[in-house]
Amino acid sequence: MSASPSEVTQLIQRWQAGEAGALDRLLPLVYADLRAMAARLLGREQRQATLQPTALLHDVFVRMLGGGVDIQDSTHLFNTAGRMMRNVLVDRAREAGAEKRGGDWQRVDLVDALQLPIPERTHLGLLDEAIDELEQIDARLARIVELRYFVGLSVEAIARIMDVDKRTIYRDWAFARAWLGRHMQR
Amino acid sequence: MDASTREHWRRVREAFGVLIDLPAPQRAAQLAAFGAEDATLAADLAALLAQAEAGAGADPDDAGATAEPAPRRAGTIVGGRFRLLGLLGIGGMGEVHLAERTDELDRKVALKLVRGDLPIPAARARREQQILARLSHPHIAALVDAGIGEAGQPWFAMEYVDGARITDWCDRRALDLPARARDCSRGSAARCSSRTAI
Repeated sequence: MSASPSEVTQLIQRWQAGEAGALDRLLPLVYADLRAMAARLLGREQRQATLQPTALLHDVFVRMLGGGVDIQDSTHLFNTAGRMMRNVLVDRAREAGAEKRGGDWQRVDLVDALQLPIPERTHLGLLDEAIDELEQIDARLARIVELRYFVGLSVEAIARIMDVDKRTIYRDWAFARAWLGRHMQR
Repeated sequence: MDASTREHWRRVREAFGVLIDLPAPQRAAQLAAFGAEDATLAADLAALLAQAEAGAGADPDDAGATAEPAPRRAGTIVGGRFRLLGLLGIGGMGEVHLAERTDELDRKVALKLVRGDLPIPAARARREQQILARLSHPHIAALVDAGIGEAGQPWFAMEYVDGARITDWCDRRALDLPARARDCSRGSAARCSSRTAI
């Protein structure tokens, strides 16, 4: 957890230079930051607390999303992080699958290392496509899945971040999971 | 995903949100009621509810998902002449209560209260009530009375048929959920409307 800023900068540079191991060391730091921020949000009374991204998160956002990243509030910050983490893990699974014959890419070791609640034997490529469809039914469903599966936040934290009633998010989460489950069986 | 598929899933999602919080018997009854209106919707809804049921507990964060109690309105007077006795069921459009006339005892009705947050113009509600009043069919429970509540939400009082609950009827025949939905959509209007008042 306690990587110095220069170490982080080095890790980002090495990852951008194509060194796969760098991302594996970088991501746990990103997740630690994200989860610490979620915990701070839950601990506060005020709902829409404006949390500034840490220097690490800011750097990662800038490098991943290109220049002008302007994080407006904590909702935006987490939505951005959720989408980014989804891209990273799905890309990683795709690369891992391409190395194997048949391209049967499934969960990646990172999912376990980061303790994400994605069910075992989930095909991340199919999950990725199914979330795109879910987004067409309602974008909020896709955001909830990203935050739960790819950032590992609790449903309660997601409700707080979205500033939506907790019961509503539980219902949405139950629907999203059932819907994804059925659509990925095919 | 084309526009009609999207619209279909949006409706399934809305109904899912209502039914997921109901205890099993009420859920099956409401599912059958949805089936009477749209068999495809009910079949997909049943499949998703079964999937959610099978997957419950699989996510470490499921613990917080507990049903909230239905609103208690027993004793409330509606339209100045119906006293609510108890909740019969909850659907996507509102709640159905068992009620009695305040001026004419022993006359029970199924009283449907349309949800207050649905944007139904009073004029449209009145038009629907007029159409309903003209409907007369042995398999459709008769409309007894109707009106617009103080908060602007329409209500309908239907003849209350104290027959077998649709769920019990299905249980005796050991129907699975899709079969229940199909059965209900095949015109068992009398059994359904006694519970759902439309």
